[in-house]
Amino acid sequence: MKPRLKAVRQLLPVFLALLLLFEIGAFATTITPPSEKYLQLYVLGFGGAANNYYPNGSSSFRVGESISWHLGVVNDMGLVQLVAVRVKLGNQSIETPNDTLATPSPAPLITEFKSFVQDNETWDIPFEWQVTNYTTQSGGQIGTLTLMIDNMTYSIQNPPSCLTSSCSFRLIFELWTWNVELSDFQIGWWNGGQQRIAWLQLWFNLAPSGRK
Amino acid sequence: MRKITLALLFLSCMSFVLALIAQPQLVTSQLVGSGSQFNRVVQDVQKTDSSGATPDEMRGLVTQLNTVMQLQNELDSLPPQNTDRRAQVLEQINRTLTSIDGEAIRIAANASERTSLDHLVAYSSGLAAAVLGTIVYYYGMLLWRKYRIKRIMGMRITLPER
Repeated sequence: MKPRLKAVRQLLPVFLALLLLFEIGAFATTITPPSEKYLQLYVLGFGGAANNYYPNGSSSFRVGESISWHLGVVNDMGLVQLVAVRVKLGNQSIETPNDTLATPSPAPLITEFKSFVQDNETWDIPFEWQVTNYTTQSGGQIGTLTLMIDNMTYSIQNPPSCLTSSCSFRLIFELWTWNVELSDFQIGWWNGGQQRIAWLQLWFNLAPSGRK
Repeated sequence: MRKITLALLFLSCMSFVLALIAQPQLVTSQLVGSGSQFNRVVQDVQKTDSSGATPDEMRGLVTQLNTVMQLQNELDSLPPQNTDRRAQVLEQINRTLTSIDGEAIRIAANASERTSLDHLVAYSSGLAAAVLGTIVYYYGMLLWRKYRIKRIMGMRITLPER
């Protein structure tokens, strides 16, 4: 065997082994490992802490008392997302969003906030609100509930039934995202062929001596 | 030695071609069925993001998209009889969307090129490292053999005394 051919035969496996090793390294640096894609929704109380949600530490308050919360949406979807936070008014009995079936709550919609959120970024939504007025029907049911959210007034005719004497309402916050295939908003988001949802609720009571 | 060089050159070319084939294609705008202009723009912006645009590049697009959302809110709040203002806002929305789409496609093309170049550099570096490693191995082996020969030649044979 010629010495050069022998050298080639010796060096070729070494070269191939090294090539394989280094190209695996190069491949590992260029690909993005698959990770779970998700969105987070949270509500913080006064001062941006996970407490002090209500004035005087009680979820029972009077008409005209202002409440300051901060809603937050964190985008970990790996792509920019068009996100909507829908605010709904529920009572004690109305259904909440269904995590298993990924269906929204049938509670009436008060308002929604929409924004594009970059990947790995947080969208902070100041949420100042108060109950500005309500009317009662015969039998003590609330007929119209007027809320002011971020200086916008929303009047809800026939809100979910609630007696003024023992009335527990809740604000339900649902996270919706824009689905480019549907060309519409969908509740939650899709990850690995499964629809996930994120929602929150915060209860409040109107004090019996409600009106100022 | 010439054959080794030829073999290395052949393998280098093969790796280079493979690295080129593995590159992602440039992102182009595509109309989605009968989808609205808005939906198409959202798609294009998401494609731009997935093609490797930097957060700073994306921030500009997102800011403009949020301007569109504000204009849309303004449009929704305008009374139907305010036709002039409604037409103005609508035109502004369309103009901004067209601008965003164009910019998104341009950024996506740049990002794709950048990503391709990064991949090319990474794979070429792997190849160069393999070639360098082989050369080091070759000369290392030569040196090792020389050292062994030198050691063997410098050996002293001592016979045990009887």
